[in-house]
Amino acid sequence: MALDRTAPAHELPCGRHVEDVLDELDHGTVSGHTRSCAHCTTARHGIEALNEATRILLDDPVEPEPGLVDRIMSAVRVEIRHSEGLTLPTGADHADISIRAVASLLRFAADTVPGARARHCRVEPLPDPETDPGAGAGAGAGAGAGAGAGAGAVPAVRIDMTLTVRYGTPLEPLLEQVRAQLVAAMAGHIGLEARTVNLDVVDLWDE
Amino acid sequence: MNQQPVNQQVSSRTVRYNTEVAAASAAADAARATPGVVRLQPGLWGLVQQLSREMWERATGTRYPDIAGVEATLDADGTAVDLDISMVLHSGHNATAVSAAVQESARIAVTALTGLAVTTVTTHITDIDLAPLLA
Repeated sequence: MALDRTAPAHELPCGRHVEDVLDELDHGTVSGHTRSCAHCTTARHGIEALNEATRILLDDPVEPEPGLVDRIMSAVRVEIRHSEGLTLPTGADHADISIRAVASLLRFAADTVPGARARHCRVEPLPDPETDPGAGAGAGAGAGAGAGAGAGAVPAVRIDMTLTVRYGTPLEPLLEQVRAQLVAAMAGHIGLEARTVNLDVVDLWDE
Repeated sequence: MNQQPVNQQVSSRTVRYNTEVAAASAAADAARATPGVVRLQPGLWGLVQQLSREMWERATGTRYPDIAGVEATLDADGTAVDLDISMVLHSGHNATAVSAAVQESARIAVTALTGLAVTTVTTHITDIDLAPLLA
């Protein structure tokens, strides 16, 4: 194997370079120094172990494992979701949760109400009125205001969800049930306050 | 400029890397043992590292710690570490409570097993496993 001698060499404590030992191994000639020098011997053993590992991997007729695509897609989703998280109030250290994961949970919570099916769900953090006094004016004025924020209150979010509803279902009690489920899911499963919940019925369905 | 010999630089980098792996391993074990954590979840770079480690284990038969989903970064002095943990939440648990528990258990485990101070423990819940709710 030809070595690129323009690249920086890796010097051993004895003054020789790892590349010198590698050259000897390539040519099958081990010098007297290499045999007697502890540093060169260690380097030689390391190179031989690496050669052996490389040979095993090259000879290994490994098939891609069945779950590999799922693992890759999960990793891709992590990259996407890292940029959009809701901060969780754990204390001094930062903690967050993916907004898409929260939306999935909320759609599931809405679907548990008989006669309702969730479609789209958007979750946005609301500014903290204590740290952003100008932001609190409209908070709590939404269709489903939860308990008001006070001193030491948990961070609040706004939920916008579109729903389809079974034809003939009384709308008002159904929406109240959905709203209650969303507020309970945010508090119980996430630890955040759903201060504003906007529900939009976009379609009807018949069984 | 005071330059270290190359072999000392390599040795120093190796020690730092091994220390970071030890810290990440302790944090990963602590996080996985926390109720409400389904699994740790690496990103793309973490997955590449995980697959490389699996190949290394297959080729050499040497076990490598499963630290996918955890990043440990030593400070310049090599005495304190920042931890970053990504995980999937069990739907029957509260996300805030589980995150706080992971932060505490990882902090305790890393200090106990490595002697390092822990500067920050950042946690990310990347997904919620809804399967238990569907059952």
